[in-house]
Amino acid sequence: MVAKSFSRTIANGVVFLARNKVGKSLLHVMAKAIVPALRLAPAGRSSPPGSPDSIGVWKRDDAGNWKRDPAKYPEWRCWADRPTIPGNPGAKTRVLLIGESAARGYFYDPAMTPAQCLEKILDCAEPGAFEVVDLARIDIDQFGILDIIEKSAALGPHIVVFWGGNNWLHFGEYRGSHVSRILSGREDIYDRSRGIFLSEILPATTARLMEGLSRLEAASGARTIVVIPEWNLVDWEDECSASLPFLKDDCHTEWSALLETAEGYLAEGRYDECHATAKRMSTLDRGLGARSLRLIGLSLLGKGNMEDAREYLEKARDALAGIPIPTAPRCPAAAQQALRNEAVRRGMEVVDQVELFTDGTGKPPDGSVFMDYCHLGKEAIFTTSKAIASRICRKEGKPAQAIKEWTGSGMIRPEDEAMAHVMAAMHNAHYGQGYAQVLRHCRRAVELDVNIGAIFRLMLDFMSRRANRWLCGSFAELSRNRIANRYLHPRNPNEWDKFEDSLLSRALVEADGSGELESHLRELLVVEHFRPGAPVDLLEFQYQARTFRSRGGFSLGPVPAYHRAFARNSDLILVSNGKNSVGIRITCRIQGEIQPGESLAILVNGIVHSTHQVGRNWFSLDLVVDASALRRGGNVIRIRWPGQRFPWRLHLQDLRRCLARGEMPTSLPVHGEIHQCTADARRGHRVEQ
Amino acid sequence: MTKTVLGISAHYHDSAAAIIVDGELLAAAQEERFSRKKHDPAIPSKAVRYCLEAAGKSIDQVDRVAYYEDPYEKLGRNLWMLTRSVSNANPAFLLALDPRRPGSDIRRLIGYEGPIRYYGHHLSHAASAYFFSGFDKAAIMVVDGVGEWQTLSLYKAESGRIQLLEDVSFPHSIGLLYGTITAYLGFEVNDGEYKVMGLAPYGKPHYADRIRKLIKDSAGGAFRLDMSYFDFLKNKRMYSEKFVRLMGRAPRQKEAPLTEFWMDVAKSLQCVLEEIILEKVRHLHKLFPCDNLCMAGGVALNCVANGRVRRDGPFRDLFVQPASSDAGSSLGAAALAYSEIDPSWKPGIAMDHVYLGPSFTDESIRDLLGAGDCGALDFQDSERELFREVAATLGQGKIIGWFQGRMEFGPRSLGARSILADPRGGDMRDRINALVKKREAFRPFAPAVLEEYASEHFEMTRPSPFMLETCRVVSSLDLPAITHVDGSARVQTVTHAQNRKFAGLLEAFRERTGCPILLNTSFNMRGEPIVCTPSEAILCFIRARLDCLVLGNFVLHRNRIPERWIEWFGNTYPERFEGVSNSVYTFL
Repeated sequence: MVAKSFSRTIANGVVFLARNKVGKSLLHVMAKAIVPALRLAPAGRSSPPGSPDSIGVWKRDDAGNWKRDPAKYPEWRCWADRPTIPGNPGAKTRVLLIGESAARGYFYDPAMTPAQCLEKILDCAEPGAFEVVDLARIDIDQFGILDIIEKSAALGPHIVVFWGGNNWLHFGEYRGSHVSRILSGREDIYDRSRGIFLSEILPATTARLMEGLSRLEAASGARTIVVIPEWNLVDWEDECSASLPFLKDDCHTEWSALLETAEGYLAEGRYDECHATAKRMSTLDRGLGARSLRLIGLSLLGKGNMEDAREYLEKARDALAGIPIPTAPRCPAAAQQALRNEAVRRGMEVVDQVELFTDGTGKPPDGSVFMDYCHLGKEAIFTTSKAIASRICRKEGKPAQAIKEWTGSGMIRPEDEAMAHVMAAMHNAHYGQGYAQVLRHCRRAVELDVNIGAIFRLMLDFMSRRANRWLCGSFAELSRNRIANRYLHPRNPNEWDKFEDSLLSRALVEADGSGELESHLRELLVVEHFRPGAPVDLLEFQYQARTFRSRGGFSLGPVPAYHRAFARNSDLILVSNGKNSVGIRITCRIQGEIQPGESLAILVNGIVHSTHQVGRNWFSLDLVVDASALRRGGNVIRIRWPGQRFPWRLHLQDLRRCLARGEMPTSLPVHGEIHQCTADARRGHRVEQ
Repeated sequence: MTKTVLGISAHYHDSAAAIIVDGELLAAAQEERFSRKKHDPAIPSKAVRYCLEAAGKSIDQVDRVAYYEDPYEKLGRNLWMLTRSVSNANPAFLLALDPRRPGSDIRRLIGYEGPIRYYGHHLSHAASAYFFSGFDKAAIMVVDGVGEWQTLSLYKAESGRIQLLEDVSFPHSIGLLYGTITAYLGFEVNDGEYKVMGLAPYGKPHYADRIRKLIKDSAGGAFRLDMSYFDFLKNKRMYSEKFVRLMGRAPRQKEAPLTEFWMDVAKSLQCVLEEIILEKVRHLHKLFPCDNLCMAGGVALNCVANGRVRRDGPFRDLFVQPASSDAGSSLGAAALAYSEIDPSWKPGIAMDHVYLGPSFTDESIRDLLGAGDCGALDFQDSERELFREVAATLGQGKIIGWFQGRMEFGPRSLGARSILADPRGGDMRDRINALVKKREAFRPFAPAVLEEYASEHFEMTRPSPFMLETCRVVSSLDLPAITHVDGSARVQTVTHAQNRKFAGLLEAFRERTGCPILLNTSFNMRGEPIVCTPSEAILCFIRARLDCLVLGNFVLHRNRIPERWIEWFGNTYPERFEGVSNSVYTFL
């Protein structure tokens, strides 16, 4: 009793102190002491470790066969569309393919997959001798992959093909001790974070998985072939707003100006000037800017220096690894090399896509190889499958001549291939790729299938409606196509839905070329989104979030109650009937220190509507946009944020506070914040026609 | 000049936001309804956005944010817990010690720049009941697991001023006593307490004496537990080995059969709880003799005990805050802050509804349903026809999802987001428990009844709009689906003034069947927050295999919806997120 009262007195004493400066310091010290015990994110696992009688979505039945488990129905779409895997391969050589979405044949699945190609090729080598069991899964990280590896001996494989490495940029691997080291100095926090990730965490992840494969070999007698993944080095552009973390020298304004210049040079083919400018950018950002490195790489490519171009393009790809900025999947050079080293050390065969996809000129791979960042196009799937098949035949002592002659003819129907390109167009758009990349896929779809226009119309319908897409009849109709059904499956229907799809819509309309879709789209937008009777919230995803990353606020941490702009411009789509003026109310503020002479500008369809002084406290603007400035259908309301300095000191404080809490920081400079943005046709002056 | 106050509760059990503008409570909602994470404790950024939108305010127009807890006081309790057991020193626990976190989250994640006021956890609960009770003078009792230190507090209030009379400090807690036995019974702590209450009528109070042994002293305003029976200070599990020895049986495993023993334990606990609550209420009346009692805190959701307080307690009138859990504290904090910036503000008329959440117009529902061919029937032109159609469907023994108007604030579905059925069906309770809600078979359902017919069917003398008390079923009708094994029911009375459409449906059902009562349960599946939006309602309708869905003035029958919807979602369940621990009370 006495002890209890005493300890309570002590506790209350600390609280008393905590209310003043001394106590705050004490709490700070305590928080610092906690950091080494932290995990930044829960170590993920795609499926809980279960009984050995369950692998992926398949469950072993009494007869020893593996049946798809109805209890895992929501997960079926992530795996091969295969109801049963026989328990015993019989006389056939069983090949297990374990991997991620690239190995799944994302976009082509289930019409054509690498596993199907591999089986077909092996069948050419020796009919009926091989069976390929496809255990590749989309949305799987290293923890999930290891789980599959650990269970796979139960399938009695003779050969294991392991094709993974794109999904390992997982912050669940960080420990508090890493965080302590990252925070140990005042400067170069991001550089240290990336260094630790690439030199320690990623190799350790790779070694753990390869060790798992060795155990699988030991348990089953199988031998392993490791596929080293390659990436779309030339054509994949990280989302512009996510390409540069906070810089410590407050040099974002200078860097942005150089970026604009360098991109201009590149567009004009002035590679030397581009190279020099990008080098200056890279000096400013100390190698953290993916875009600086990429511009150097592209200018070297333009000059024909393939070897150096590859080096810089790889550096650009790897620039954000280990930095808490969400990016598209990728396999950094460190992981590729670790896979090679581990494979050699363990006597495993390797299919190295880096070699496979480098042409005779040494040019790094581009959009002719990839559908997006890491998912292969049809020919690249054939190439990889043939390379794997060659290794298998060599191991099994089978003739490989037929493999060389295999062309893949008939593996996929043109209309399915067209659909794969339509889905790729959507994926590219939702990962922030430019118009040219999105249009490329739409056009390819038209080339492959003259009737694709009907599909485009269905897509425009569910993309443009207010209703969740799974509620749309057009979506139900489109999903009758098995490729579309796989890619567009409603998943968690409350989470994975509406985007600001004007860029994709434009590409579909242009590729269709009939002119009819354009007016159809315009009228649909007006019917669905023009609401003269009520204010429209322009911060809804459908009016402002073009990409997955923007939906998540470009952060791995908590998403605030307001919109944050990670680029100089915030574009919001306002649908107008072309007749009513519209009142717009914006509550906004900036985070940085405003540069002299700078102000916030509102542009309507590219024309400056008004400029305003803005500060670091919220203020509300009431604007009226005249009907004459608006066109029927979608209009772009652009908020152009003023040029600012972004004080590193404040960012460092925020970063430390987040990390000390085990919370992911936001690592990008914030150009502006919007708490409210509503458009109200009632507040505008009606213009009679 | 307009005055606007935003109340926030977060970082504990159920985060929520509420907004008061010019003395009027305009909106309130729990974060879980938007984030779809049950008991979401995160800073309620989505709920705040909703409240601002509903009030037509922007963040720069908010005069004050009121936070429902004193983070420094809570730090003291958490530090004290550290001294009790070093096993508490895990990173999550230690991180939660930062008393600056609520303030910094309100700045960072809500974006609020103005003044923030912090009020005690129990004071916020007390205010949530008092300021919305309609009483000028009242005694207030707050009982829950624990706030900062307080676990039971007794207040008096008059003319808008609340004053603490007595309190009981952690770890001696009536709520944690209840939570401990909830855990022993194999139910989820922080969530399964109401299951214990539902199980109790199946049992006999054979173990009441053993449970009384857990309490060292409960005379007057005191309450002391014998801590040797409890392990919750170690933050691992609720009960100690000594407790298990006392009860003479190992704890029940989750989903294990509920035999007589477990039912008797539940009954014993309920009896002891009622004894204690009555004792405290009588003590409070001695401290502050007046007519009115207000109650709040998680234990105030025990409607069986509330019924005892009304029947056997010394107060003439009782008001229980319908959102009695931590979510409701956002209301209380907002009210406290508002009464500071406008000292002339006093409790006005009693809160008579909790429809404070988002609503959706027929136009928006039509757009949703019109996007595809789902065979929806449109009754926009005739509400009367809508009621007839739905009443006929209910009369055929069908189970319907009912989605109307503004969402309820608090844990109960009260006819805005409800699953409804005919209470007369012999198998209706089992059907809904097993097929629709996929939950334990013993759990009873509540009736909703037109207020004017309530006394014909239930032994009640006053309205019960919030389903917060139980009473005896005295109906001449056979009502097996809503009558608990002890002949009681947890009744909601409905009037046209409070909920016009729900009352209209009840009236239509009465006209058709002679029964003015409907079975009313929350519109969700097990482990999922109650639905908020029309699309969530449609999804739940598909997953829970409801026969019919009424969305505003539109009706969907299951046999007419697209097959694809059933193919996509028919065999799926909502993703489950647990905002709080299920094995030990969440103290952070």
